[in-house]
Amino acid sequence: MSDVNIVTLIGVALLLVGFYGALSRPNVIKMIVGFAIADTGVNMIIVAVGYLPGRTAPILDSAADAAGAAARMVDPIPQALVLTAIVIGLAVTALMLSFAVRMRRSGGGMAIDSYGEQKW
Amino acid sequence: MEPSIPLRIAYAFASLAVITVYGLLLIGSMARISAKVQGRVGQPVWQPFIDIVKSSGKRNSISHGVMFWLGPVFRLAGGVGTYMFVPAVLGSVVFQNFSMSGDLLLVMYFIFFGQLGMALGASEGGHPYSAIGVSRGLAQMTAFEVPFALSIISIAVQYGTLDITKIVMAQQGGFLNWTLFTNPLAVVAAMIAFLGMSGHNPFSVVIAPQEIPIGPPTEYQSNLLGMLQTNRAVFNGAKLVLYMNLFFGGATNVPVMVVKTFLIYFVNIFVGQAFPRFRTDQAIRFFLGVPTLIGIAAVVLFAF
Amino acid sequence: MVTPLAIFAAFLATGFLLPLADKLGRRVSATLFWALLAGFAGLAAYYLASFVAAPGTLEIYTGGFEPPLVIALRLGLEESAALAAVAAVALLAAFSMRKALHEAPVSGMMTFLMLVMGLSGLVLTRDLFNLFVFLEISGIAGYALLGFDDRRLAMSAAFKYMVAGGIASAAYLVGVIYLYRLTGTLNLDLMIGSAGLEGAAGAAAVFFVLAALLVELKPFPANGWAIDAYEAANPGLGALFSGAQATAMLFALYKVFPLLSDAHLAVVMWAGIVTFAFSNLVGLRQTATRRMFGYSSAGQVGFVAAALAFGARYVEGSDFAWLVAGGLLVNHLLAKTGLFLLSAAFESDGDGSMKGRPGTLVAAAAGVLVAALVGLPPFPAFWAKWDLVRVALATREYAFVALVGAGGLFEAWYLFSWLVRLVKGGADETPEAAPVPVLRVGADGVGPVLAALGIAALGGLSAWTRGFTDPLFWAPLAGGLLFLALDRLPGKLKALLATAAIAAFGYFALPSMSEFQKLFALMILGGGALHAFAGGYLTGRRAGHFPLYVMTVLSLGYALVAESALGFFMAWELMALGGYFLVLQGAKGRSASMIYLAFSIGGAFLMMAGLQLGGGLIGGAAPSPAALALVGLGLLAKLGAFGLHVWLPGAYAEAADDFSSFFSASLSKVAVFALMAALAVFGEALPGGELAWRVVGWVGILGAVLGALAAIFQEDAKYALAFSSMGQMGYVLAALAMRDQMGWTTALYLAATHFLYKGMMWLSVAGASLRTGTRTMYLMGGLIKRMPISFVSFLVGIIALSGVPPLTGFGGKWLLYHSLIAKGWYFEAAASFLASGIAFLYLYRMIHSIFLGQPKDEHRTVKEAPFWLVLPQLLLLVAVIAFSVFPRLILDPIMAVVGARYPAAGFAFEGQTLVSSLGYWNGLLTIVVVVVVFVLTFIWMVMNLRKPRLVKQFNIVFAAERPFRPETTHFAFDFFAPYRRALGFLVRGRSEKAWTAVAGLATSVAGAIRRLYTGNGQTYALHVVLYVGILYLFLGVR
Repeated sequence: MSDVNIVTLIGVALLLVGFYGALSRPNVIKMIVGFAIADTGVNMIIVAVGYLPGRTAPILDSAADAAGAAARMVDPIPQALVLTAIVIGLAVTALMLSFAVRMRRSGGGMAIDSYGEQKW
Repeated sequence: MEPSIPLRIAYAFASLAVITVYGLLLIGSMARISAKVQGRVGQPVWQPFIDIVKSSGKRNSISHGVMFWLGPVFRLAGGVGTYMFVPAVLGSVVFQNFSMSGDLLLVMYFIFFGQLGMALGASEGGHPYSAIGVSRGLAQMTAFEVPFALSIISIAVQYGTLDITKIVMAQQGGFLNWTLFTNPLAVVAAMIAFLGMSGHNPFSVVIAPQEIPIGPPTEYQSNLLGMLQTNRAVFNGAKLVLYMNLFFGGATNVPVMVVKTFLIYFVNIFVGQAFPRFRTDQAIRFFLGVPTLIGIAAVVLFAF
Repeated sequence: MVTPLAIFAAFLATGFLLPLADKLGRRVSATLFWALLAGFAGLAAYYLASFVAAPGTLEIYTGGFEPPLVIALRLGLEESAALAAVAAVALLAAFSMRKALHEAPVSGMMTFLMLVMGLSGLVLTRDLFNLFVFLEISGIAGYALLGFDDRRLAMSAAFKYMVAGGIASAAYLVGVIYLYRLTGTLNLDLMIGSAGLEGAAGAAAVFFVLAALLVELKPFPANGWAIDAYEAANPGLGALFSGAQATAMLFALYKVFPLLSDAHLAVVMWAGIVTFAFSNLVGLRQTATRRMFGYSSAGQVGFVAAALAFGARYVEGSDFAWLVAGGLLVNHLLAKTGLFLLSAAFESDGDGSMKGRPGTLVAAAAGVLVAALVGLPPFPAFWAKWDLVRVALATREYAFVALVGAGGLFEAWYLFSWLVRLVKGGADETPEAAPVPVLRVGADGVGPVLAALGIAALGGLSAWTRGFTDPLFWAPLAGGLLFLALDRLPGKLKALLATAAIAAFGYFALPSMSEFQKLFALMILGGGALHAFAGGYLTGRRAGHFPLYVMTVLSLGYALVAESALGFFMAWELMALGGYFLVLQGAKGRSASMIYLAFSIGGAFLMMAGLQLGGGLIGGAAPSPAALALVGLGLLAKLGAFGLHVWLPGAYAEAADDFSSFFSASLSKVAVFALMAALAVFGEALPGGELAWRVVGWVGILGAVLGALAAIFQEDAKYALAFSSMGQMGYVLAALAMRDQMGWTTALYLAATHFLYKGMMWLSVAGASLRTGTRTMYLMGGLIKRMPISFVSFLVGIIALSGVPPLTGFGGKWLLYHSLIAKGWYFEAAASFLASGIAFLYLYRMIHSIFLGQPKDEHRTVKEAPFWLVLPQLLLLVAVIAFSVFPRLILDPIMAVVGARYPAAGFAFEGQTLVSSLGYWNGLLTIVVVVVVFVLTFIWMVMNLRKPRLVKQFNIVFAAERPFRPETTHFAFDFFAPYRRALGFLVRGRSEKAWTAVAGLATSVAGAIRRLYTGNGQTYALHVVLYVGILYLFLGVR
């Protein structure tokens, strides 16, 4: 099991890019986009962890029948997990966006620092 | 050796009579001496007797209440009591009084009895000058108590006791055994405190005749004043005897006692005629300054 | 047993049904909502009951396979307890939010249910990825609930929360997937002990999971988002976050503990305790209530996490987690829930302004909740803290203990400040000017009262399970509750009942007492009964006074007979708490009570640490100087020793007059008792040896001098008496520090006589100020004619206190000087002379200003003090006279007690004469001589009186002036002006200034730290990222 492959690296890179965006862009929408990118990065890492070189997708078809599945497929569990993670990520992003919209409507600005009334 | 109770009471009365007469004469003579210093003729030496008789004979018409009456009672009882707790003449059955009640501390604290009672009585008189006088007197007292206490502690360390009789015994056998010579610093501290205790100049602001006519006794007249005057004699006598016992070798007979106490008291007059008066706060600072340092030195010398 | 999967099914089904049901009307959907919550609570209670009855665990595998193929759930005692906690808080929170939930769109109720379900899932699941899912479900529901009532503030807070939550989620996912990679499973039980966890990669993966959970627990300083959320949230939701969500998150954290290495656990422990200390420090600056509760919540959760990690690191078995972390958690969740609900009921917008003040029951509930949260007895956190500190000291985690103490002190300060605002009805500093009306909150009070009842029941259970079954132990609490129930009765009747209750306690406690204990029982229980009787002097009900008074006195009583350190300490804290509330009940008791509280809590913590150190845990049961030093410091604070006295004048003076008297005359003596007992237990050695004792002696003497000096400058009679007490206890301390037969005889004699005469003086002043309506002395005057008995009582009191023969006080002086000089403490003796001289000044000033001099026009018709005050004074008077005439009455028992400890006798009786190496004193003869002389003189005076007449007030010799009014003639104001000029510089409150500076430092540090919380969501996110990074570095360093 080699720990490093290209997908992992891209995933980490996306994660960092996403966090950088979320931490450096004052615009609320851009922050949300940053989180979406970071989510994607995390998902890629998850998928990459389940990847085994030379194996096929975990689908029972001509490439892998039920008997040989364990030997010929990549690990299916991370892929299942990633589905859940994607759904949850989507939900969070949607909620964030809807809050961003409502915050804007209620008279706030587009920048995160215009919501600093509560402090100390 | 131990006299019976009635006899002892009789002795106590005798002792008291002696000290009263002597105290009054002492006051009279000192007043006369002061007058001479100031270039006046002065009063006769027996004037205090006349004053007391006159005061006691007057009809008193004024009372401010029970505590007002009790004030002089407290005062005189305080003076007499103080004397009763001091053995006046070493080895004399007549003059040993009731000194078996307690040691030096009892005497030192009983001194307050009369002062406190008097202050309370004067207070009920409702005269502001009385209260001002008491305020000043008490304030000054706390200050001169410090060198006095240090001096007492020093001699307690020196003689290893607070028993007055034992302190006197330790000083027998020649005047070089007196505390005056064996522990001069303590004596100096105590004598400075004595000036404050006696209320002569420079510590006379308590009864400051000019601003607050006569301080605490302002409202007292007739027989109540007479009691206060009597007390002055007894109380002075008691304090003088105490000083004599502690610092000047005590006395083995009455004439020695008379001479010694006269001389001790004379220090007061001597200083009093030479110096002007301190304000109360100045007096407090004075006592807590050099005299206290002397007292500390006296303790250090014997303690370490 | 119903499978817990039904919970999820029911919540999900109801969630989907709600919008449909809502079409039939809000009543229908609301009924469904409440039915589900109630059913859930019932199920949780049922689970809890069955697992308590039959311990065990129920493993639930979804889908019929075994792990790792399926998600596993577990239900055991711990899980069911956590579920019950979640359910209880959810019910209370929903009840508090009922109006908002019923008015908002139905999605509000739906989200609420989803949140509760998510939290239940967090508790139940054994699968790490499933844990993530429930984390997100509860998270999303929580964000949504925050913003569901469409307030901009709440939405922006929710947004900040989401940003932080997003970071945590990413970290969690990365951690989990690598754990899966390394161990090949997501099931927690299969993962535990897996070889894959070993090595750097395993540690890193575990760390990411841990970091995510930690961030969700809102650690300082990466918790700005959480604080904002607490502040913005509906108080009910705040309760849900602080109570239920924290419980579930802590449970999740606890669940992954088996994966953690010691280094990981250390990170949790320190992160938690640092959060506790610093969150509470920052909380000091808060006035906005819900934000303050937010800081407190973050701190408390950190504390529980720290306790959990501490237990996992150092203690075998799960009992510690149960008792300590569980105790702290249940304490926190109930208390905080109750507080949030109270804030909802009494504050409109959580900015600290109150709509009104609560009635007695709700106020009592508020007191219970705050006291519980702060860790005072008898509530669960108190017992938990005791155990935690014990083990922490045994493992030499001193910094940990220090942080526990500091955090608790800070938290106590701001929570009790809030409580004061609540019960006094606002921030107004002069409440007596405009009494705040009582606000009847009706149903809104149910939640807090239920929470308080729950917490009290659990606290009682904790005590019972620790083996406290002695009825005397329970007497203080039972007494307090009984009198709370009787609070509607008239005050005078309650005074009689309280006297009887205290007497009954004494009747049952006395037989088991040693002579030493009996001596103090006389002062404390005897004084308690006397002052209980005196408590009838006020008209009206005196609402709330007697429950607290009885509790305080009886806990003092139990402190005397307690057989274990814990029992003693619990009584001690209870007494401090009761005293605090009694001071607070004074009209101007606010700031005084707070300062008293701070010193009580600080001192008590030192004492606890000392008791634990000396409890045989370190270095066996050998005498421990460190233990004695810590316990001693705590006791000196209670004694009001110089330097630690700044609470004393205010607390003594601002309490109700009768309690002031008890406080000074009786309560202060318990510190003397404890100090003597501590010396017996821990040995006499202090760090620093004899020199340290000399310093203690000087602390006492300085207290005597400066206390007396401060007293002479007071215009307020009660402050003068308070400073006087400080001075008198200074003598006691100095005498105690001598540690020989003479010193201790002196100390006990002084303590006993101080009890007698100070009680008379306080009660006499109480009568005077009751009749004149003022405590300011120069406004009184001449009361001797109107109140002769009070005058005589005060007179005897001052003669006794001043030490003038022949009354008892002189015995104290005589003993003191003899023992000091015999010990070689000469300068201490000289300073005592000064102090006792200064005492004359204030004593005279007091009796002159109050009872003598010129009566004021408006006081010409005042009456003698009520019988309720006079009788106790007369009893004390009789005792003073008896002890004056026969000093052996009191000295024989004292010398017997002291002789048991210090056989070498410096003082001994020969007949009636007390003899020392330095001199002698015959009390009986003294008083006989004095009385005879006095009587003779008196007779002489009476014989010479010639028909005097009582003259009018102004008939005085007033040189050429006419006295104008009593006010201008009564010389009483600034009585010792020359003294002030000469020595006033000594008493300009340097101790107060020093302590104010310390407090100022704490608040400035808090002010500086809270600048971290900029309110910017992005900055908070950065905090979270940096925090995780720094924690990782700590892990690496270890």
